[in-house]
Amino acid sequence: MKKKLYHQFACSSLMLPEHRTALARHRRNKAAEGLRSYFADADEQQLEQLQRFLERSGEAGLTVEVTFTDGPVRRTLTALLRRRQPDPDRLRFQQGDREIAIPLEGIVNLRVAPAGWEDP
Amino acid sequence: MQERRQKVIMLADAESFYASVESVDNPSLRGKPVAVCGDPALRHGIVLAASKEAKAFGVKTGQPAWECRRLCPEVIFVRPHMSRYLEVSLEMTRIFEQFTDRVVPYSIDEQFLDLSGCEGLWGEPAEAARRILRQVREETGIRCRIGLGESPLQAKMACDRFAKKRADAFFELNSDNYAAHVWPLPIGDLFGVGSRMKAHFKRMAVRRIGDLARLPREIPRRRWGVNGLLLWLNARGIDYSTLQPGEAAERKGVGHCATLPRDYASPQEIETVLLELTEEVCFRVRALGKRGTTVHVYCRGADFDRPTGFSRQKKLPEPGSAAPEIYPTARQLFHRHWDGRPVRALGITLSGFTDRRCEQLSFFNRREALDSLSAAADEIRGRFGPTALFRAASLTPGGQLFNRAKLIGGHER
Repeated sequence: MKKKLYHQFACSSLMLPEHRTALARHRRNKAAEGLRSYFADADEQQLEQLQRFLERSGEAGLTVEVTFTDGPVRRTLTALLRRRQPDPDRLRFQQGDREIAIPLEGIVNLRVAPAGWEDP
Repeated sequence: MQERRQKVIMLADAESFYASVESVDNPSLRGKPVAVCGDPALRHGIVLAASKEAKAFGVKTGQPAWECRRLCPEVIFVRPHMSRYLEVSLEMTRIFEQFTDRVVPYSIDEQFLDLSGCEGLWGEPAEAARRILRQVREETGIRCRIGLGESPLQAKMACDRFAKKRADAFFELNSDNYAAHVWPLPIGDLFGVGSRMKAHFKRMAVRRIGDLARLPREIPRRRWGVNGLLLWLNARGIDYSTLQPGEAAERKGVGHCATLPRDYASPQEIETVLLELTEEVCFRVRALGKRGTTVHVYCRGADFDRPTGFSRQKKLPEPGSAAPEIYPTARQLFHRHWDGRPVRALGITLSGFTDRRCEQLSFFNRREALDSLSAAADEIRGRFGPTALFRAASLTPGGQLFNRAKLIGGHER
């Protein structure tokens, strides 16, 4: 009941699968553009690697290791990069049942998680 | 100082979208009656969009091509170019995103924009709307209409019922003027009321939106549950829905339907199409990272005078996302309910999703091998297209895979 009341337009939306795919690609590219501006010091190869992360996340849901600054502290988190990235200024991760959004400006590094890591 | 609005929601709707894009791409069509129409040879010969010049003759979306020609003998039929329409729709999204990051496409030609709190950037909402209309027109050549409201419902009603009829292509509804403008409209004009609901309301002597709004809320609620309550709220201009950029609500099901190029009467031919549709559905379900538990089969008979067909569903013993898991049930369902008469259209839907990562393990099934095989096939199809890897049955005369690969949403790419 709640869903019907709060999402009547999502329920009646008429979107072609190809349109959904094109929009998802557009959003990932936008997020990648955001990354590029924040990683201004990164070289071409690193940027390409980051962009590939975002593109593949839409298809596979990558497990990544993200290093980010949390105030004065630098933290490292291993989580799944979420398929849906609606915000242009932050990346969303899934760790177990928990969703974590990290502002792009705080991200220091991103890499595929070492083999053997499993979603808790 | 003017009171600040709680929410500023706009719905931008492109006028005769497909026909407008065709006129932009081919200026010789401008000012002429144009109808975008599918291929009659593939039995897709209905009007998908008509220019305003064609509409002036009474041409409407959904009409068969012959009826359109009868109403307007000088109409120019144009084949659809779906990928081009998607491109333009995305271009419009990009323009809207210059005004707000909260853009939610509702369909290929309608998009919601949440401009709440953007008054400092773009001025009063009416001014922002005019600016958006102008920019879309300048950059894409497409004329839009904008409905403004305090909720998506008010924006949708403002756009559909008023902005489309106005020369300035803009209209605002809010809590203060909603009743004055909307309540006198016929009940069929309310968002969410279709032809069957309209007939129900007619029997209850509810003829105008205001009649429904004045009923005690318990009457529609008791009769239709949450749907009745929702319509009553819509009639009063109350809308609790939220706009979420990105993929909105969780998907409940994935389905594909095909209108066949000729009537199919042979079980082998029908099974081939069922198998192809199952493959398409499974490909998309796997891309969502889901498995489905309910298979739904739809069949429409070929005889228009005596409509036949069925729509039946069955629960699977365990969730699946590969064609070998789904197809046997779909085939069984079809044969149990098919009356043996020629078939015009077929459809398969998989719903009741579970997460692919959570599953009941079994000692006996071959799930792992099937998943690896599906993943490899998906990678090949994702990279090289749906015809890069296919079943031999698709090469038989009944196969529709190669025809369908040329279509988007059932119409030519």
